[in-house]
Amino acid sequence: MRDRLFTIMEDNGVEYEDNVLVTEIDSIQYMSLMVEIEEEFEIEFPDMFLGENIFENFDRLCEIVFGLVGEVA
Amino acid sequence: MGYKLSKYLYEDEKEGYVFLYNTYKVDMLKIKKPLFEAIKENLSDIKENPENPVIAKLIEKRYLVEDSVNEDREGDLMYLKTCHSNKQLLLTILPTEGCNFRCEYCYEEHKQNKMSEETQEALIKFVRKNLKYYGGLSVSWFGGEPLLYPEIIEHLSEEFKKICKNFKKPYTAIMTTNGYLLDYDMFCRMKKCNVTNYQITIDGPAEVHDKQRFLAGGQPTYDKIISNLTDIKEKEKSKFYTFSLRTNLTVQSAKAYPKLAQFLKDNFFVDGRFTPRVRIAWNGTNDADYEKNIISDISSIFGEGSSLEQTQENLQKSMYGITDENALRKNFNEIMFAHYPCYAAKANSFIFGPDGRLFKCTVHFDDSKDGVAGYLKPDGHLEVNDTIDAKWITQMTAKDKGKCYDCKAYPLCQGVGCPYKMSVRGRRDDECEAKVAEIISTFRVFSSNEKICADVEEMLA
Ligand code: SF4
Ligand code: SF4
Repeated sequence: MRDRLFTIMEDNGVEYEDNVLVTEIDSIQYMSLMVEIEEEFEIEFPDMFLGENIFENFDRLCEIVFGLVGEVA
Repeated sequence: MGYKLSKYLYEDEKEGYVFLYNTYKVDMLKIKKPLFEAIKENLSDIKENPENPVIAKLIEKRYLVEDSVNEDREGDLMYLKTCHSNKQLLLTILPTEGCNFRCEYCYEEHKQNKMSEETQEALIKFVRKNLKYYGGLSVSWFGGEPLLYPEIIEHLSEEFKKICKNFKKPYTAIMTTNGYLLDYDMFCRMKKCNVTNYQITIDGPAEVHDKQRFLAGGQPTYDKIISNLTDIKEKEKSKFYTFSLRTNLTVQSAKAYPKLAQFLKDNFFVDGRFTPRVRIAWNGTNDADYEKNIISDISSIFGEGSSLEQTQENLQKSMYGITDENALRKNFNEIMFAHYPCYAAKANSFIFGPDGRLFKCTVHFDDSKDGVAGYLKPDGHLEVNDTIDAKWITQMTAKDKGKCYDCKAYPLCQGVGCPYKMSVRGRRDDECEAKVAEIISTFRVFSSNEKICADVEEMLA
């Protein structure tokens, strides 16, 4: 699952160094990432994550996404 | 060093406050009048990093700028960043010019054409050749009615997604549709094509809408569109799929607008994914007198006031008073955004007709002199007519541009706004005045909301 998520980030031109985001994400990338992650993992991000920069740290992103996948499962 | 008030501010006085409307930052605030007067009197004494928090705030939000700043040049830079940027490759694609509707006010010719496979392949090659120069790809599906040929959208989207993946760039899409064919199944197909925003027109309650927007055979369309949207709203839970519900105001639809507004508020705008957009219906000319007349007809429905500015304020109050607090900021930004340069003014924007013709503007397609700016060749090479392209993607003549430097709307309009009106056809003072009046009235309408227009001292508390 972690690899799938990493591939989505990479395919959208987003890079991490030691888990920390090094790309400045613009609004188009943000939109593209959010819908692709929702589609790939069959989840919906609740409001509480919309204000937060959930991409800042890759471990934290995994935690959020897998948490939501767990809720769905 | 000393500071000055930014030249891009409108000042308004109400209830002991001075309201400052900032077109550069698209921001506003209010400040007690005596405090504002005191600051104004001592502008030349302000030093760098001032201790006074109000002054620091005014500098931070660019209400005050250093004396030496040349704001004209910053306005010019803004134009270059907006219209000559390579952040995105922006494509507007018309799979067809045909449409299943025959709206009363529509300007298109309804040619029953369809994008050929050869043109689709040329388009894919064009993207493959050019995407490397841009930060990502954004497609806007347009027509005619794009959903008449969903298979074209699916084929092109699949290929675009592959190319974007290879180049490691994001891909997003939006669509302008009449909504008739957008049932939940179609919406799910379009989700796979990354379409995240729809612009759909609803002109009034059924009795008005169906008179303005009917099928080619004359049949009504309102019930079907509302049922499609209701279905999507109930079944789709993601926050990232949004809908701008547009109303084209004619005198008839304006009369019925309060009823429609109430219905849309209760059924759609309570859900933040749906937002209103209201425009004067276009009559096929670019006639400022037509707009003025229709605004004055409409104003008699919405309230008193004879000046253009007052009328627009009344009109906007009744339109945007309908949404909840959270939607207000979004609405405000959207209305202001409409004053920024149109995609037709952008060097990174390309509109492709079903036959591979390159247009710049989605209204003046078939204007034989300036409408067609080039042709897409089968190998994906785009042959551009620079003489025509230059009219769209450069600013107007120096003489007219001189007026823009005195205009407080310059950071929004950037001397282009609608490049058809400002540059291709030629700028008109009365249209600029109407634009400025609309901008001021938008600020004024939204300024009564504390969330959008706060007291500068309370911001610091
Ligand atoms: S409104 Fe008119 S004068 Fe003002 S910036 Fe735009 S084109 Fe120039
Ligand atoms: S150039 Fe003007 S008329 Fe053409 S699409 Fe843009 S705003 Fe509309």
